[in-house]
Amino acid sequence: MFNIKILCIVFILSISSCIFAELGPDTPCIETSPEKIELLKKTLTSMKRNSPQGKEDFLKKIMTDSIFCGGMYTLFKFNRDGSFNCFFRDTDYKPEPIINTQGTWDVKDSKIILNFTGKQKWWSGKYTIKYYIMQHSERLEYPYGFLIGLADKTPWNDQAFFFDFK
Amino acid sequence: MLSTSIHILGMANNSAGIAANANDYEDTGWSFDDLRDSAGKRPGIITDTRTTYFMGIIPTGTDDYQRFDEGRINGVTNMLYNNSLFDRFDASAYTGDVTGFIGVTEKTQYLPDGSDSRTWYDHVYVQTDNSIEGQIVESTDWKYAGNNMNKGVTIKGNEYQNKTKYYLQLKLPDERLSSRD
Repeated sequence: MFNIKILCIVFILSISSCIFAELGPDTPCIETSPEKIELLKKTLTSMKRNSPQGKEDFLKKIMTDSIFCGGMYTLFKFNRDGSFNCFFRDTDYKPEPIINTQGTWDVKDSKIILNFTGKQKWWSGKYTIKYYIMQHSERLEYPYGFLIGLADKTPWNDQAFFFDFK
Repeated sequence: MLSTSIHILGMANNSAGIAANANDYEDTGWSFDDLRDSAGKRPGIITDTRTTYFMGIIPTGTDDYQRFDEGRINGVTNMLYNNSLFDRFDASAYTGDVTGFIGVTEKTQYLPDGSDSRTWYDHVYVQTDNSIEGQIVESTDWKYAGNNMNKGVTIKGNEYQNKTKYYLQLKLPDERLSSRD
């Protein structure tokens, strides 16, 4: 019985470490889920801005378990359990990771609600979604992009969340 | 853009030779709008030591704290207020064709504890499509990008739409401009 418990713990830890190892500051912001890609292509018209009003469930569905780039400085992963991981590089033109932080997330009333923990707690807030859009260009290696544009400035200086897909 | 930066504005390659750091160069060889003098300056962060007090009166020791230095005008700000080369206009009010426009973005830098901030213009890029939703070309040493870390000159989707404060248009004879609505 004791050995089985040990084996279970080791197994769970191994699985956890494998999952954790996938996420890092250099993780590409690419969506590969066929279901999510199909949903995006089926639901959205390319290059047309969409209002977030009443679309919170849709946005949550797309955001859940996906990795988003913020633009210049940040990378977010929005986890299914309501937590998020965030990698932040604060320096201009330099690649050194500065901050690895986390917190909880939600989407309500056309806002992305982020509650950071630790030293970045003061970054917490309700960030208004201005629009979301499916970008498309066959000139790019990844022809499609999904972007959520924020109306408000953020302390991390990115004003969008986006990923690419094929 | 890289070519414009290096050969017209006089920016130098960075140490890796792949991108011009528009934040590191202060040009003086052009005529600038007077507004440049009141524009936000890119600061450095200084760590200083200060005396700590008990009840605000009795000295108890010292601690380190961070503060901004005076800052300096950077290359992006020089581009923005360069009257010789560019026409400048508010990006939020523009809805027409943006082909060839240079977007100028704004950054607010906070101290790590959020106690103070400075705002300045930090980045430029070029629109390569007529739509603001279309592609851009930019030069960076590194950045987060959709499919990888970008380095050098890259073409990509525009995630700076909401950060873009101004557009610049090269001053060219009418016959050299693409037709606009």
